[in-house]
Amino acid sequence: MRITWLTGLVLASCAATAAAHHSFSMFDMKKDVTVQGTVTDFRWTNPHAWMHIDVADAKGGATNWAIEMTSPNNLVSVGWRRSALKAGDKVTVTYHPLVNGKAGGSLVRVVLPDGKTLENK
Amino acid sequence: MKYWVAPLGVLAAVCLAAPGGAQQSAAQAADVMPQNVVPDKIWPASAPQVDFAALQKLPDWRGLWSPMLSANAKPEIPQLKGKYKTHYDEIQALIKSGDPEAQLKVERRSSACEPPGVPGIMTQPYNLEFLFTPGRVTVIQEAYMQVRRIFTDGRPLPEDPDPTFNGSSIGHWEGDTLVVTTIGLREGGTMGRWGITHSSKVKLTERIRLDPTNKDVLLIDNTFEDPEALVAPWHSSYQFKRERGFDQIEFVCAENDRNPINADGEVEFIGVGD
Repeated sequence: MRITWLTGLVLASCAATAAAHHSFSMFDMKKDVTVQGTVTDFRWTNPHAWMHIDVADAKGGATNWAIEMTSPNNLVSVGWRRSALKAGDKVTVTYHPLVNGKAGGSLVRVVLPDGKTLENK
Repeated sequence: MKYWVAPLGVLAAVCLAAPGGAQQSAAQAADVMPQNVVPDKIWPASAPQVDFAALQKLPDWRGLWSPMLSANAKPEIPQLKGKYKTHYDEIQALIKSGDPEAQLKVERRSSACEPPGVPGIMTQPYNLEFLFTPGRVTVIQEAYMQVRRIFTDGRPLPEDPDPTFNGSSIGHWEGDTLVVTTIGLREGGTMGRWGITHSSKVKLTERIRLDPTNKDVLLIDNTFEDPEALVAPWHSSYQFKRERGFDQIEFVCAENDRNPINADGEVEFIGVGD
C-alpha cells in the first residue's frame, strides 16, 4: 500500500517478484515535464486512477491529456481522496511523458488550486 | 403494451428454465450440481466438530503485512535446465544488453489484470492479511483481492490437481513457523525475477514466521524443487513489515483497465479518445 511505482520498479529489478499492474517502459521515466492545465475528468478507479487535463497547444487550442496514476489503494496513504480533483480545477502537473509522443504520461505530482501538492506514490 | 408482454413472458420462461445458466442440462437432469458428489472424506477444516481453542496457541499475525522489497536478500542464481535455462539466459542477456525496451520484453503479460500466482501473489506492491480458522490459514492479497487457502488440517496434497495460479497448498505448524507445501502451479509460472520460471511439476516449500528479534517483521523462506526445470533446489526469501493503521481496500482490476496487452505482447496506454 505504500510502495511507490518507481521504487517498486527499481527494487523489483534487483529483488523479489513485485510488478505493479504493468511495465513502465511506455513512459520516459527519466524525463519530467511540467505543464499547467485544466482538469476535465478525474477517475478514482483501479487498477489505476487517471486525470484528464486540457493543456494549451501551439495552435492556440487545447489538447486533452491522459495522465495515469497508481491505484486509489496506494494514493490514499499519501493524502489523496476521490474528491482531490474535480473538473474545472486549474492545476500544475508534472509527469513522465509517453515514449510514443502521444498525449499521455505517468504522474509525478500535481499542484492543486489551493497550492497543496499531491505526489503519485 | 401486449406487444411487449408476450416476448418478456417468453424471456422469463427461458430464464426460469435455466437457473444455472450455461451447462445446466446434465446437472438439471440429476437435480444436483455436478460437483456435489459425496466426498470420500470430510477433513477437519470443514467437519461438524471444531476446536477453536487450538487457535489460541498460534502466533499473532494480525494486521497487514507490506513487503519490504529493499530488505530482501539478492536471490540465488538458479541452476535451471532445458527450456527454462534457455529462457532465463535470454532474459538475462536482454537485461545486460542495455536495450531500452528490455523492461517491456521481460515483463510481457504482466498486465491485463492477470494474477501473478504463487509465489508472486505474496510480493505484490500491496499488502497481505492472514486469517486463522480451525484447520486452515487464509492469505488475502490486497492487489486484485486475491485469496490463497492453506489447509492445516492434516489432509494430503491432491494427487493430480488441475494446474492453477495459486496451486494447492497444505501446511503444518512447527512451533511458531508455518510450513507450507504447494503443488499444482501452472507451467511456465514465475518463481522469481528475472526470467526464473517453473514447470507444472514444481513443489514450493515456504517457511513463514515472525522475526524472533522483531515481532512486527514477518519472514518467508522459499525452497523450490522442480524435476523438469531445476538441477538443484532454488531459494529465495521475503520480508514484510506489519501495518496496524489501516485495512485492506477493495481492488477490482477490471474497473478501468486502460493498459491492456496488445497482440504483439506490448502494454498499451489508452489515452483520451483512443
